[in-house]
Amino acid sequence: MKKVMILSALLLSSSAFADERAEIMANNCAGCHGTDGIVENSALISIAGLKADVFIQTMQDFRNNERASTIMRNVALALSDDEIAAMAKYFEALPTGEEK
Amino acid sequence: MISRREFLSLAAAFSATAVLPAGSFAANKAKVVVIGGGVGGATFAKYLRRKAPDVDVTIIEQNPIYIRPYGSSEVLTGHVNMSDLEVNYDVLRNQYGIKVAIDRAIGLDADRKIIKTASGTDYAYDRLVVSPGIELNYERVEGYSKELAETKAPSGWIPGSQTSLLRDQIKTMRQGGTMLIVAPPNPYRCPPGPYERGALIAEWMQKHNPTGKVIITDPKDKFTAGNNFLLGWNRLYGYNIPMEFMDDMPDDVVEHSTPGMIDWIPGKDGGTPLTFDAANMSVKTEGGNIKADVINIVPPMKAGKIAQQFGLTNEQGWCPVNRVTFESQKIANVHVLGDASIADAMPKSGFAANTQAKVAAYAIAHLLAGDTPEQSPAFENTCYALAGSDYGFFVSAVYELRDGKISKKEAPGLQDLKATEAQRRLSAVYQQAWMKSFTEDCFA
Amino acid sequence: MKKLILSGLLLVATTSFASEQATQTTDWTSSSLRQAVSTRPAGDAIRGAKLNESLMCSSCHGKEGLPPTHRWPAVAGQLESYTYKMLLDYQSGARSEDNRANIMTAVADLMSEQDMSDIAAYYASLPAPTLAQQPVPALVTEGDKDRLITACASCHGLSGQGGIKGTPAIAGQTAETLKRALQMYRSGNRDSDLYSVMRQASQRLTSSEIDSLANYYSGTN
Repeated sequence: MKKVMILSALLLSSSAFADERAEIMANNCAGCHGTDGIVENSALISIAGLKADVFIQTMQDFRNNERASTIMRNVALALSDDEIAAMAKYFEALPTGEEK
Repeated sequence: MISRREFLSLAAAFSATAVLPAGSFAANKAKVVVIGGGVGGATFAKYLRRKAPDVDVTIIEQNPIYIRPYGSSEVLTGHVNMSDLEVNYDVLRNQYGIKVAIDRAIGLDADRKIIKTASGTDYAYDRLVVSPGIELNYERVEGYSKELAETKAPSGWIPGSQTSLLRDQIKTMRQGGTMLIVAPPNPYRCPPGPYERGALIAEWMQKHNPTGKVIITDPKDKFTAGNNFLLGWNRLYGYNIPMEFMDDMPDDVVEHSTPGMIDWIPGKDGGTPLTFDAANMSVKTEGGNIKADVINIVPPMKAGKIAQQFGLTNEQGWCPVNRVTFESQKIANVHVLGDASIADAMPKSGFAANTQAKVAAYAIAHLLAGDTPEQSPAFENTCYALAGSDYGFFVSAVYELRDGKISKKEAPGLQDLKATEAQRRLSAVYQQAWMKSFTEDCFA
Repeated sequence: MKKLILSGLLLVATTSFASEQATQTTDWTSSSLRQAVSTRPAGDAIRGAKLNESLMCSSCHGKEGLPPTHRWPAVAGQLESYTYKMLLDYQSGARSEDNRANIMTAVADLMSEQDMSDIAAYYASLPAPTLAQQPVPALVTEGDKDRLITACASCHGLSGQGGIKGTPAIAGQTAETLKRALQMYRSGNRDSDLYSVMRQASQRLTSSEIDSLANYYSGTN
């Protein structure tokens, strides 16, 4: 719950609902990577707190098969550079939580 | 009614979110009522409370325990038990402060914005969200009925006693017997589902009933991730891929000399089912009569019954909605999510319902606050599917609004047919991991 | 599938998932381990490099053995014997400490002993990360006699290079993976270590000591 509070505080501190599209896109990742980008004890990884440049590089590597993947290549190909950059910024700001 | 300050102090005991400033919301808490505590309803309630912590959210759900449909075919092979499908509402209640009323909605007064329930309670709402899932139209297969599905030829498409019955029938089927799966016409819940079910049962038979057979008879000529399934069946169960599907198939596809364990009869080859004969345990199709030891009919579907009762459906039985807010095009202030809604290019899947629910939650938070929702939302769908326990693949797509319709963004949508063995193995690992991560995102 | 352990039972919601027990091999003894490692097929690093790609190892551990994100361990410069043992342990289900292990079990299941040896040879041929000059925690050099904690360096080396008594190189692992390993040993969920050495050592460590050791051994040039 702590993470929700911090997240909400972040949102309130910026202009209300700013960058909401990035958040909506990021929410689409949660089915696998967890609510707020944290999934515990899973073959799938948490992506909260991932550095933005690592996130962007990873998505580019998935796109051009530099990194082999299952679904992630298709997802990365469906997203524009701007969308990836906005999501990278969003996830970087999320607290990593206590990894378990 | 308790005062706002009382609510805050009360809620603070449960949830840190509730102590946040209320923003632009009025002192009288907005009320949202959600009918249906499945994937769509639960995800919606959770994400609305996260986004707008001082909105009062009540889920009206008939069953105290949710039985998840995704992954439920794994019960048929004994990979999981029925109890493994159970999900409760404790976290939604205790951590997110969502009220969950185990009750049944029976009436809608759209003018006064009130929902009436079987227990005699009236729920007032500012926004009503209906997430009723599907209703199975048993009678659309002549000779079939709900009663026969419960006793003789289960559908098992909404998990429950029919799932256990089907599992028991498969287990006790005679050696060398035939299981017939009748696939439904589009649109229906879980597009890869009938074919995954057939594959998992064929895999089970390899161990327990090696002379058994699975036949899938189908009104359609193609199906979701069809080529991936046909390839997997060829590799695992001796299925021979029809010529018209051979484009882009990898080199290891072989022509099996003896018939395999699994067969698929598309509509053009007479697969369309016409009548079910319970006494003779056979299904008459356009191509002829198929007799079987176990018959699993997945009937045509429409939106869950409550959506029909409330007048939210169109002539085809599905609910037309605004694609930004999921507000019904039939009744104002009522929104419809998930399988029941018409979401254009999106399939009727749990993942789709989950991402629709989040978009709707944010939109409704804005509407309640008196401002404008994000006009270009994004959705996603990912369905992992299995051709065998260690043989996975997927469909995946990102969606956006184009000309007011939900459209798939340009990208490959399937696992490459040339995927390596490692990729197939890992897709199967991720399929299992997803069962857990997805359930957590919806219900915890 | 048998080896897939899905311990979804730990879920916050009371959802439960398939939970089949792994087929655990008998515990290693130093002679059985020596036997397994010394009789392995000779490793071919060039073939190992190809397997690193085709089996998707590189997706998480990097083409050159350095992981693209801090979530997964570095394998560059790892001792051949250790990589080989880990792959055996994943394949047999002896390493199944959490759901992450399911990935490795699925991949190791595709490997022959020759494949494992080739991959081990490839990783050993890559340059290992080196530790930065930094203050060394006393636990590393001296351990703690009162609590019967052996100095880390006595097995893993002062610079974390490993190799003493078959221990792995640990220098330059990400802090996250080092912490995870120590926590998993401490909880006993990770239990394929020879004679419980790491399980016992980690039991006596506090969480802040684990953090400090993880920070030390992850500090690279």
